[in-house]
Amino acid sequence: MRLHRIHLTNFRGVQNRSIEFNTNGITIVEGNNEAGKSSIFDALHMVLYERDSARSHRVKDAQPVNRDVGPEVAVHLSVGEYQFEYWKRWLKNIGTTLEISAPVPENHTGRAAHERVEQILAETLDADLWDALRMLQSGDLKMPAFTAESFGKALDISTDKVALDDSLSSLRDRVEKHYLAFWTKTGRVPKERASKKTEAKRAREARDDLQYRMNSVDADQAKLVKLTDTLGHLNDQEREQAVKLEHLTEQWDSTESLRRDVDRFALETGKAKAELEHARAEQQDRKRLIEEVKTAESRAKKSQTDLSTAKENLKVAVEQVTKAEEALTCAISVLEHLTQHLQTAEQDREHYAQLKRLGELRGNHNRVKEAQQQQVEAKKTIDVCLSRNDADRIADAEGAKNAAEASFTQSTAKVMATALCTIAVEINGEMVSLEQGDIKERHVVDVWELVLPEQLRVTVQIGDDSKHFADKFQAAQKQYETLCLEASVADTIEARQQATAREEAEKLYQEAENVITACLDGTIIDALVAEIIKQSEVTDSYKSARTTDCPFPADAEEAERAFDETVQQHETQKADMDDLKQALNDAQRDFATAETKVEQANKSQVETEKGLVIAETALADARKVTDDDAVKNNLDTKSQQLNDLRASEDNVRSQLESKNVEALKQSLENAQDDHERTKENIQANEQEQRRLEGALQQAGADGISTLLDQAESKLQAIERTVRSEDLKADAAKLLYKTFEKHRQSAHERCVEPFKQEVEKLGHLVFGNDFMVTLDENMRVVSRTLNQETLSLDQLSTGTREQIGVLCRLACASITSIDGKGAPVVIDDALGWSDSDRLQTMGQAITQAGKRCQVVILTCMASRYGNVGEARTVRL
Amino acid sequence: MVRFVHTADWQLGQCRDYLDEDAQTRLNESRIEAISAIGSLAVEESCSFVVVCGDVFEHNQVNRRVLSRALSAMKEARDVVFYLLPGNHDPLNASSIYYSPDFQSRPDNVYLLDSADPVEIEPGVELIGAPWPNKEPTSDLVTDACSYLSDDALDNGRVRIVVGHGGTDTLAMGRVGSKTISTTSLESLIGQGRIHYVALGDRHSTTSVGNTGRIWYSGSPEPTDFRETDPGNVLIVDVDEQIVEVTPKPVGRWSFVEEARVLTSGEDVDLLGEWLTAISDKKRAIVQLDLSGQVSVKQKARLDEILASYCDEFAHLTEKSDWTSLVLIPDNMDEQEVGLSGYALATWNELKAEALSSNPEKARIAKESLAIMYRIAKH
Repeated sequence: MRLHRIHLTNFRGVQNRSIEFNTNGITIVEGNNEAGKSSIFDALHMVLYERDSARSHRVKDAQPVNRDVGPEVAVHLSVGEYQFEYWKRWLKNIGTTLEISAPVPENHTGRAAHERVEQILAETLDADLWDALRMLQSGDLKMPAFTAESFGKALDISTDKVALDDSLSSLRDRVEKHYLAFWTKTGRVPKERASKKTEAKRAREARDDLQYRMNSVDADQAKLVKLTDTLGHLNDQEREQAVKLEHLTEQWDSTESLRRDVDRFALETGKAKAELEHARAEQQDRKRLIEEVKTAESRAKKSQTDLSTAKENLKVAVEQVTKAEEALTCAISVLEHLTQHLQTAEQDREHYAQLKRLGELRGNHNRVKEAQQQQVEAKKTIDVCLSRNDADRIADAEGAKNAAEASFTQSTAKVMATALCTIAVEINGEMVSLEQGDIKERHVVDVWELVLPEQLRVTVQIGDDSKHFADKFQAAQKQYETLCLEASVADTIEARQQATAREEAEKLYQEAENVITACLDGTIIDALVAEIIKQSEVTDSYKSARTTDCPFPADAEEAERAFDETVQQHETQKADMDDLKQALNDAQRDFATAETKVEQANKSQVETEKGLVIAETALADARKVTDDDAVKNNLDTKSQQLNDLRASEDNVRSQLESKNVEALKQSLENAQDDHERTKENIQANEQEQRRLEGALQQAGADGISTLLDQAESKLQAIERTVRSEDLKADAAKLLYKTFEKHRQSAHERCVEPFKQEVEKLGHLVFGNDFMVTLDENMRVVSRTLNQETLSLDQLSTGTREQIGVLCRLACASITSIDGKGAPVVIDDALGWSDSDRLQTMGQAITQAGKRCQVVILTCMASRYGNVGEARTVRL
Repeated sequence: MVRFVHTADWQLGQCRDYLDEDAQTRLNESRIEAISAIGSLAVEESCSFVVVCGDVFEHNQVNRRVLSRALSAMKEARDVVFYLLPGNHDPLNASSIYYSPDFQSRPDNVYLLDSADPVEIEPGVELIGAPWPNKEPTSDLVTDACSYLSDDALDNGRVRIVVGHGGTDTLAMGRVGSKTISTTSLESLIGQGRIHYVALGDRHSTTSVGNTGRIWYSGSPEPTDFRETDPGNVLIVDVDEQIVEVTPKPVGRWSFVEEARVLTSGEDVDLLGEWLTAISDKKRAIVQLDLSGQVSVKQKARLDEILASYCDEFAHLTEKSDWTSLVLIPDNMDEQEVGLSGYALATWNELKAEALSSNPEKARIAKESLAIMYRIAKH
């Protein structure tokens, strides 16, 4: 759409105003506040969309206050291929006229005119775009959103002919709706479809369960056939086993009769055996009684002999004890004597040791005395001699003096006076007689004066530098002399000699101190002396007090030897005494043993005599009951009876053994077991047969086959439905995804040129590294500048407003081809922009104005002073 | 001359898993109604008895309600005696339906041929049954049943009708086993005059066996599958030593139709629609289409529309699962029809390319997607 001209009559505060727009560029409409700038676009909106008969608020608001006139608007527009003049008046003398000049001239009035314009606008004007491109003073600073459909439609021609029209939008809605019939928005299987799959799973399980039961029926059927055969065989087998069992039972009964005979004979034999044993026991008992009498007699005799022997042994033991006691008493006496000798020898040895110690103490005392004398001498030297440090200080002072002197002599004048004849002169106030050829030379210290009395006075005075060195020299010399004087030495040599002498004395002193310390060993000399006195008294009194039992040794060595010998003798005697003690103990023990044996022999003799009387009594009692011959005869009779019975039993037993009873018994038991087992098998098989028949009848009654068929049918039906729905769902998904993919691709193709256009204009305003990011509605969401990206919210109000203007300019630049698109309307924007930014924005607007129509409404003409190639209209 | 109805393979209780519940119920009803129809036909044709040559029931474990309804239907035809023979589907084993309490209390006009012992059903007329004792007999049961027959028939003018079930060697197409019925043996017995008619079951199409004209399969009274050539009949049999006359009588109302069509144009699709329209009694028709050829998206959409419109009219209408034989190739007309542009056109083109993919599953989904897009764009 292009605005050519608008004419307002009686529209709010505007009585009559016509504005011509630059259709291919920029128009700046300038005017003070309330001049009616905003009314221009309200009027444009009214004329396009409000019928002349309308009495809406918008229309009523357009009527001038307190004037009975109707607002009028005439507009000259081109939109698409149409160009027309359109006029309307509302409220008073209402009317509408339309004159279309292109592409084909048309004239309409009234409602027809309005409807024709509506038709043209619907056909050619993107209303959304038109709204988006207006940046109103009162509007917010949000970025314009250009929907893909709307913007894409505008881009259709300018970009790659990708159609994004309403029909596609509708198609997309239907594709999505179809997709959502099978899938959730998040791409999951919806509950309805999922429940069908669950239903299919359940149906399959139900079918499988029934199939399993059906298979069981078949298996049971086969089992039953087999079971019937088995039962037939088992019944035959049972009959055969019954016959065999009867035969074996008869054989077993015959054998059992023989077994009973064997048992009877065995019982009688056992009884005879017991009687025989009793007779044997009786005879053994008689023999035992006779033997016991004999044994008792023998024991009594032996007891008597044992008693005599024991008494003899006791007598010998008493004698041995007496002898051992005597030998031990003698040995104890010898040991006591040796003990006294040992004590004396030990005291002798100690005496000689004390004498040796006394000699050592006296030696130490003498050495201490000598050392103390040495220390006294050394101390005297130390006291009068200089220390090494003092000597070094004097030597240092002398060195300093010599250095100062050298410096002085080098710096001061040297005066040399040579006597040419004998002459008396006064040098520095001292009269000096000089012979011819004498030379007096001297370094001038301060002033050197030579006076020829009453003839000449020569004064040599040193300069300031020399005087400084002279002072230093004098000070050093004075220092040196003072130190020598204080040390009472003539010079450094003497000082050093004294220091050496002192060091030697100190060494001697220390050596004496070491000797004293060693000899005293931590004590004091008075204690040492006291110890010497004490020891002397002890040694002197020993000899007089010593026993004379044994000779006094001549020296320490002899005392030591005598001690060792006495120790040896003492030890030997002690060992001998222990042996004697042991011998006494042994003799005493033998005595006790002999004594005990005598007692035991006495006791034994009494008991054996008693036993003999008892045995003789018992034998006599037994013989009174049965004499010895009767006992023997009874034994012979019982033995014969037993032999007879054994012969009869052996006879019957051999008959039984010939029958092979164990084998017969085993056969019978086996036959019984087999028969029982077979009967049990038959019973179990019959039970199983009844169970299978019951199960089969039940299966028949349940109609499992029908149930299985029904379950199969149900499963097939559900699976058919699921398969069909899965195919439809997969197809819907494929269509939707493919459709969305291409739609997204088309969208991206729309977005990219717009982004490039915004950035191109942005480069003029912000610099060449300006970049923007767009969302899916092509709305700017962030900008990047100097490699720093900020979201729109983080930007200043001014920058946001500037980007908003740039977006509209970019959109209009792209879409305004062949009369398409819509003009950008900027209503007093850029109020937050600084002057520099206003300048660059002006360049951007100028640049965009070459490709689209731009209308700027402002009350501050200077704000857009940098916009070039603009038509300015002053209200 | 003996006159009776020869029928077999009632397959009562049989289900077809592709049928929905309504259609299955209708088919079950029709099978029971066929019994009544046979009873009425027997009366109309002055037949005193009906032999049912095996597979009366689809299975021994069919719902007992099927049994009771069948017995009721037979009871209603009280002037006719039904002789039932156990076949391979309902053998006389321990779980046999014939041993069930319900069958034991059957009507008086229902007789079970449970052994090979001849049954004199009226003076001079004997039935020799060859019941299946289980599903896997080890010998030719019919020949076995006849091996004990005496020569009475030769002397006394007795008419012997053998009632058997199973495949015969002449129709076995090489699949002969120990249990296959020997046509030669039967023809020999017929030639000797020991037997006079062999009523067979197992084959669901009406078929004469051998050259004597005395051995017949009656076929099932209601069709059971697409492969059957002449089902839906019973046979009215007139027989004595000299003459045999067999007359097929249709009683079945259901049809199993398999139709193969090559579709290459919109006209072919429309013709198919007309063919479907022409099928009568659609609620008892089970139709399976074997479609091949190639169609455009528009034609496929039309085909889907036709099939969808008839889906509920037929008892069952389906395409063979081999859907790759009908190739969908989108053409320029399709694009013009839908009038797509922009990214919608790009979408169409990508789907079109995928529809021609070598991956059949992918191609199948893509074709369906194209069809959806066609429908969505057209509406």
